[in-house]
Amino acid sequence: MSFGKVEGFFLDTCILLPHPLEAIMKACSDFIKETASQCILSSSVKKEALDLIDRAHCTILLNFHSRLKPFLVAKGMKEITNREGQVFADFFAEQKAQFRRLPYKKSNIQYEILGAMESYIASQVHSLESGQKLPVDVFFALVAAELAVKKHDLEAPFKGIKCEEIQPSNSLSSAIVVGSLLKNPDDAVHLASALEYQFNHNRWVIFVTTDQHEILDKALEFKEMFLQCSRPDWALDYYRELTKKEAPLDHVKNIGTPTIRQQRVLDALSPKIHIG
Amino acid sequence: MQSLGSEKISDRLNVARSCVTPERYDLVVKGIEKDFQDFKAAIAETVEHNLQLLDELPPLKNLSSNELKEHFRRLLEDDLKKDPLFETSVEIKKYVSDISKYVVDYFRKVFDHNKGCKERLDSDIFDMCRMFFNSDLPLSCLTTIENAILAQKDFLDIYDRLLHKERSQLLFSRDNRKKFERLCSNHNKWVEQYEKKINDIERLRVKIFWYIDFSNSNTVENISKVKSIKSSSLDMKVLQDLTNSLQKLTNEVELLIEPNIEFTPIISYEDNNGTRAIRKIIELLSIAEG
Repeated sequence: MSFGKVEGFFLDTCILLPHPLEAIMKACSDFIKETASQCILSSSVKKEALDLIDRAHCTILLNFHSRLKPFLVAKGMKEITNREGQVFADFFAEQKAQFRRLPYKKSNIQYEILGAMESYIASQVHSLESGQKLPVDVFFALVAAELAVKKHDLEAPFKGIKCEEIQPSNSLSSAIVVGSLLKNPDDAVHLASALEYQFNHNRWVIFVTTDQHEILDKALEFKEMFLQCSRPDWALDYYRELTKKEAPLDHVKNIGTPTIRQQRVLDALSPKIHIG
Repeated sequence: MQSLGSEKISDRLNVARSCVTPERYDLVVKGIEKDFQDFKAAIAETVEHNLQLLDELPPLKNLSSNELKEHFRRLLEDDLKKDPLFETSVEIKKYVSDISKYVVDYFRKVFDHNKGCKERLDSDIFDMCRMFFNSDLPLSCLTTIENAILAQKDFLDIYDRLLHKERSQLLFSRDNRKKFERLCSNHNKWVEQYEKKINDIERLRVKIFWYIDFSNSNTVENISKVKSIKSSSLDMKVLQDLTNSLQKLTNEVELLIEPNIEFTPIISYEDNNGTRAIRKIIELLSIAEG
């Protein structure tokens, strides 16, 4: 029987993105600083993160290119100064009114996205120096060039961490969904990737996330299914604990009668991994 | 302010330059190479390099190719003569030819030069964004070219890091010919895996920029000027093929670069309003997807 077999930390997308809450942001940064070399991204997490960053970036650019700029041109605006805020405010008020008039709205997300773009453009307009006049196309080119660099900065942490190409079986993802009543199928794939890696390499991993509602609130269920989930603040403590534990395959052999949740996971793993 | 149509897109021409391609060290000084390092010869070579690229452009219906070539040759020669970054790239080639004598000077120049190249790539992003906001081009055209330029910048970052490491090693070994040669040969092996792809990225993205710009110019005098860009002047299938090839090439370069990227700390939410806007929308998109 072998002990002390801990591989490291599987990161969720939220760990490598900036967080609005200072305390969480600090916890993530401190954790990464200390453990970067032991961190792993599953290919599903990396793909999800890069897709989300790309889509958010495109959402802003498309709106500015196809709606905001034509609106300003139609208003006869040729140059932008820091005193032109009113016209921008009119544009967003009009867009929001259009949204409110829609007969069927699934949620207010689109409305809030407009709000985020409005705050951004307001800060850009007001950051122009008094007396500075920028042609409309130059203003938007400067905004777009800045967004391209910021998008790249947001992607950078996902490119500097070791990535493992893992395609967990559907049955393992399903076992996780059924065992925890997880709502987001992407999260199920991320967790299944960590679990499959853990048993493939016979070394414990810890799934690190700040997603309280969807993952951390169900940490006990995941633990029962052999996967330790943790906030970044406690991840190193769990790491130490796992070093005292027998290796994953030995642990599974020694649990006696598995619970229903455990049995589903073991059944899903068994075609790929020889367990006991 | 100049009106649309008379204002140049940029202070310099958007052309393919060898200055963004990494250099191999050459320990053997040849007479012919000394001649080559003449500034005029370097200009002629770069002009030729770009005229070849011009020949590769998809056929333009609106401009006579001979007229465009002549006009472009003149524009390019004038531009290169005034370009300080081009001048340093010629000097750097001179140092490369006899690097063991010039280790200290060479590296000082190269680091400044790479910094200049990165600033130039930033200005290429701006030019492309400006073209996009004066056009009805698909967003993918802009983002593909941006991604290519940002991959070139990432490459320059790792190239800089390598050169910093090599500088001290070469200085330590300057009296040890064997060790010095080994270091140079390792450098050249490293460069070999990137130089063609980096050069191809530069050429392909410039080719796309030219295709869009030239196809929307009524006269040769109108090329490289700010103007309204209409996708109807382009063969969109050709443009799509070109951007697809650029994306493919960028993906290949990113794959090569990624293992060399050092972990970058997570940027703060408060870092910048652009960061905050993108992050906020990511959060909202995630909520929308449950």
